[in-house]
Amino acid sequence: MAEVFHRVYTHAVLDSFDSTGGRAVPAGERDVAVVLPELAGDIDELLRKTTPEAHGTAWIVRRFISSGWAYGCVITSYPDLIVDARGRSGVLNHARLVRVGAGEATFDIAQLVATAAEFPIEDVCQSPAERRLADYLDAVSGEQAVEVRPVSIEVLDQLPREFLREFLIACLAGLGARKSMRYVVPSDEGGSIESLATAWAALPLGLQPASSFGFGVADGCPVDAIFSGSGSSTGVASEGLAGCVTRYLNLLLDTSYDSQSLLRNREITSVSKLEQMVSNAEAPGKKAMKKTKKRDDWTPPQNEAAPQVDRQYKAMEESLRAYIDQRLSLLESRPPSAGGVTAQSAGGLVPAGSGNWLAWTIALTAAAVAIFAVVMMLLRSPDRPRDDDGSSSARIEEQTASSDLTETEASSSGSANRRVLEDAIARANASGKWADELKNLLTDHPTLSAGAVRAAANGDMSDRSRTALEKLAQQIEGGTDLGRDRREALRALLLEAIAASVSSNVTVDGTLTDLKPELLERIKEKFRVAAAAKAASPEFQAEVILRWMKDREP
Amino acid sequence: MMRFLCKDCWIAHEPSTLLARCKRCEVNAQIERRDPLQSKAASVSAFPLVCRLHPSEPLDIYCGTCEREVPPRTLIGDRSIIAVLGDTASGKTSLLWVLSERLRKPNEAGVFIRQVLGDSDEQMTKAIRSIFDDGRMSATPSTDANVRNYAWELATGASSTTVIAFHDAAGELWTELGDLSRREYERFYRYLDLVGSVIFAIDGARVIEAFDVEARQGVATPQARAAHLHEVSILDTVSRRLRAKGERLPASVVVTKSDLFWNRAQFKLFRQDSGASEEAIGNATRDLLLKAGRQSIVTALEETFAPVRYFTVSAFGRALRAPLKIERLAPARVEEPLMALLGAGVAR
Repeated sequence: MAEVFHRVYTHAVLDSFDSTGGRAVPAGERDVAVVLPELAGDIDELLRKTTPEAHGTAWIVRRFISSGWAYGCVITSYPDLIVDARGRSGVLNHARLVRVGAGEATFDIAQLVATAAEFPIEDVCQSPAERRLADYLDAVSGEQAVEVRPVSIEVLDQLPREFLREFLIACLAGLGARKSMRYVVPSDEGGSIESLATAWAALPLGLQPASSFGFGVADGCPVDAIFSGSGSSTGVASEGLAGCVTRYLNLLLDTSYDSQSLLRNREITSVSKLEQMVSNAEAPGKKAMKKTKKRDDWTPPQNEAAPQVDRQYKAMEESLRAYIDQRLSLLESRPPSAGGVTAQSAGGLVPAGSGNWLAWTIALTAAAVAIFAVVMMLLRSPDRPRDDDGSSSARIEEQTASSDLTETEASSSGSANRRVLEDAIARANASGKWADELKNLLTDHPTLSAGAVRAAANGDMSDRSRTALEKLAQQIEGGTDLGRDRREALRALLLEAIAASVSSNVTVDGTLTDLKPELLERIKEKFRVAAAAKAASPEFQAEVILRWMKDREP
Repeated sequence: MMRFLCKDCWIAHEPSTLLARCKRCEVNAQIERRDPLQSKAASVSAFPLVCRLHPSEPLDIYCGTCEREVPPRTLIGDRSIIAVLGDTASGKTSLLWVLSERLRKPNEAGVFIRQVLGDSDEQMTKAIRSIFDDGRMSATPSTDANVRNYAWELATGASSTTVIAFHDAAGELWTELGDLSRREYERFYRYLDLVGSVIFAIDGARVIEAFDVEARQGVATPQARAAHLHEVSILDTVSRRLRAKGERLPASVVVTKSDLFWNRAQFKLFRQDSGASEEAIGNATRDLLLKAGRQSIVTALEETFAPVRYFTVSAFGRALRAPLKIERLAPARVEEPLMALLGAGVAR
């Protein structure tokens, strides 16, 4: 059991001396303002600014950390319960805070939501309007403690995965911004306060104090995300964030990783730290993290090239067999020579005087088998570097597609490109004109430049941005002068794409809005950039791009 | 210098803090993006704003803070932002709503709403939806000034327009202004900083109650006493802020809910069809306030603002009894306070 505290805000009047206007009313000995004055300011702000968007009860969920205690806060806002002294509709907003020790900090807020949902509000509604506030406060005074339960992975696993994913993306997209971004969640897709509160428990503990959400709340409430059964969504999230959440949920629910330690992690206080943690957890012993229960029905990764390799293997095998059969049948059908026929100990008929022919056939067959074996070893070697999903399909496809390019040619091409870029960087270093050097590179080395642009477009970005980069690559290849505007757009997109490889919080859309100073410093450090870290500076953009291009050349 | 209002942030943007888009540039570059207006516009001092590269292409402009679109005609002047002050339940929301409805077509002075800017209409609908749903008004929530913001471009003459903008704040915010957190209400404070004129709403129900009490030398109800104290408190706090600006703003003092007393012989001039002049209405309103014991308010108003004009209005034209039917509303004199401010603004 854990202690519960209350705070009530309303437009209702307590007596004939009360005037109009919303204000907090005393909620007895467990009033937050009395017992937890350090939290009263934040709670009161939330209470003042909370209004239901329609006739249903509105909800707010938040957490607070204060003086070594963790608090879960659930606000219920009733729209049609009371009228004020002048007969206007008002609200009755009730904040419940449950306090637990730091060790129990991962308790499930859904339990507190359930307690609030079970409150006998219908009984209060039966009272005359002028008695409702007093009756409500009487009923609340009996709530002194509630059961708390830890977060259960099984409960989280029961939520529809897509709902859980979308919910976490919405919460993280506006984490701590309190911009009330709206998201529509139809009731048949999990749109209930119970589901939302359960899903909220999937956030790591370190992120929860910054996070807040509302359900059925009108605009103007300072929470990160407002979920509603109707209306239109205003919130948008980057694809990088969506990818991070997907990987996080895989780690939390589909692997043998210690889920509780993940949920209790206090170090994860930002989305970038979450992404870093997920990457670190995925990196070592990735295969060993698969849960046993998942192994029971585990099937090898579906390598797109594998069926093709098998077909080639079978075709070569059949071809070899056919060749040998053909040679043997030729031998069998050859008319006896003048020398007549001799019986061989090995059995069968061998033409007299054909000892050289037989040796040649055997040698040829052996050589073909040896070559075939070597090819198959190369194709199927378990030591080959693999992609993240455990397949080597991409590389096989690459090799198939570029079969006319030998390794030596590729290597010499790569080193030539690198030399071009090193020269460009050296010149820009001397002159300080990075943007001019990049401009020259685009016109003097269109294939090299277009290749880099296409490589950037492979990142996690919107179709629009990918298409824009592809068009720019085509224009570069075609020798078209991009002009200042398109070069500016190209630099912005490339800088964002490079930034997106450093942080998942970057949307590649050419606006540069996600490139915060801290991230720019990280980019600067990673690519050893000398220019001042300003997202809009053409020189900074060009230097990052040139150094990135050089780093990606072998 | 042109200033564009973002009514969502309450920022009067100069060109240096705006973003812009050129649709032709976007088609050519295949990339949608917002650039600083100064780098995108041919000139930031000429109107309309057009693209530097495509002089026939008007630019779409956006707030550099919230990145929402700023209608390019939201050019504001010194008197464009109007503070609607008043105690709780004094009738501010009703007045604004009815005013917005009445100005959909030209009034006697030929003033009308040429266009509603941003999401003002949606905000207004949300604010008064309880009238439609429940047949009664609802108490205004004490949010920051990020909701219930209205901006209109008014046609004020043959070819002249002006922009006005209001935030409908809860009465509690005005009465508690002295202690209001700037962190929690940063937009509200920005709104206050932009205010160029004032409508001060006084609850007519409390005024006539006090008037009657004074007449019979009785005792006022706690609510009437509280209303008076709140009005003085609001005025003190606001005047401190406005005096800091170093100039006196024009104000319209509005006694609301005149339908509660316009059947009395001495107050019949407050009816819509009384034919009383603005001066007569003003004098009668001021006299009513003095006889209702509001001497301190009248003095404080006239010390703080200049010029001060007095009006008595009724937003609904009848006693508010649920269920309120919109088709039964008969607003009286609701445009007059605004018309007076527009005149004051022009006179400056």
